[in-house]
Amino acid sequence: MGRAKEIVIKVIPAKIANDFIKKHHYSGKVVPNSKIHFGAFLDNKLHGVMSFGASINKKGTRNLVEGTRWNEFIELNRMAFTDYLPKNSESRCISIVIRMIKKQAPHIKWIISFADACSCGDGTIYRASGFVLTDIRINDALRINPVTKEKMHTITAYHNQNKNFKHWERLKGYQLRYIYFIDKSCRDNLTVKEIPFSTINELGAGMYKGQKK
Amino acid sequence: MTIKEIKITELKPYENNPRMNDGAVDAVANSIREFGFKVPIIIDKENVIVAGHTRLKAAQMLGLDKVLCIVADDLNEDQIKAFRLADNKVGELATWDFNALAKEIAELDTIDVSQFGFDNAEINPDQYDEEFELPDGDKGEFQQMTFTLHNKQAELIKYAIETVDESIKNFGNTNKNGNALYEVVRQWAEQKKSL
Repeated sequence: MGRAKEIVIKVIPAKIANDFIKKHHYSGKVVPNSKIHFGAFLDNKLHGVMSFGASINKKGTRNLVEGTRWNEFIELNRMAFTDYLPKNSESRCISIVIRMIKKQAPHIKWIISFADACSCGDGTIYRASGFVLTDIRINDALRINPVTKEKMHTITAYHNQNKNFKHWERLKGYQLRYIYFIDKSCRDNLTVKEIPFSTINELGAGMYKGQKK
Repeated sequence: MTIKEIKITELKPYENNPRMNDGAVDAVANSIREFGFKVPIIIDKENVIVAGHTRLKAAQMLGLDKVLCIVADDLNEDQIKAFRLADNKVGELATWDFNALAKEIAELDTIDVSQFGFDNAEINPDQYDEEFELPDGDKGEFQQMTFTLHNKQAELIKYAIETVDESIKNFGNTNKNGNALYEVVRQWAEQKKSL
């Protein structure tokens, strides 16, 4: 574990978290419905942010675990760390945050998150943190702006470009859905099948730090 | 002492400037780009820089033609040498109130201060705690709905909800417009049923 043990997790304001995410997340974008932000500090400096909030499709998402009430799950919707943090820091940070949620928001029974294997990674950190893989789907919603080379979601492109994006190249890849069960009994109520991690490589969906595996 | 605009090609860096400022040039350039050239360079009578070497480099980086300068023609040679050192030294003596700083940064919505050299060092974990709350329970009984209306549609709806009797069934809702809108729609639905 080494120096990862020295990491301190604090609740930080949205402004500081969002500035950090804009600077360090591969997308450079924040999720507007992030409601709570955890900062990871090492040597008294901020080196990581994990932002949580409601899922966009909350009604549909809660059906993934039968019997889940409206506020009994949360989405980890942004996570970014600097390279300053030692090995295994990310899973340690997630583990501390899960402990904090368990203690201070005991009604939260599970956490959902998505890995973007189109342009970032297939979720190594989630797997190392005890998340369960519940979906691998082709993500063809990303396009590349031919001028700026910026990756943009189709919906964003539609709004920003007034439909003039249809000739943009599609970015092909996968999106992986992970769930962490804080309340372990919820795992029995999962309404979709758990997927073995080996399927990621079988489908060619692997990606690490933006590079196809 | 006079203030004038001078071409940056006419300004002369002090050859024995003891400050190493290359690491600050980007941040100063970002500041000038964001706010304009607001702090003049101080020079002597020969256009040699007394204070403002970093601002000159930033101005060069930004391709500025002229910059505002203060000519310290009221100071003698010794005073200029001393001022050159003092101007840099006194800034080092001040320290940050990190709580106040974090509050100020948090209140800025549209400007990212990291471009001016504020980095993670200014965000001290001691300023924050581990406490938080997340909404509990099931979905609330009340919800808000948003519509986009043409002005003429909005006028009719306003008229309709203003004419509704206040003693209608409200399910505990205290929002008068919501109750009135419900009543209008309820009556419309009843009429549809009876057709």
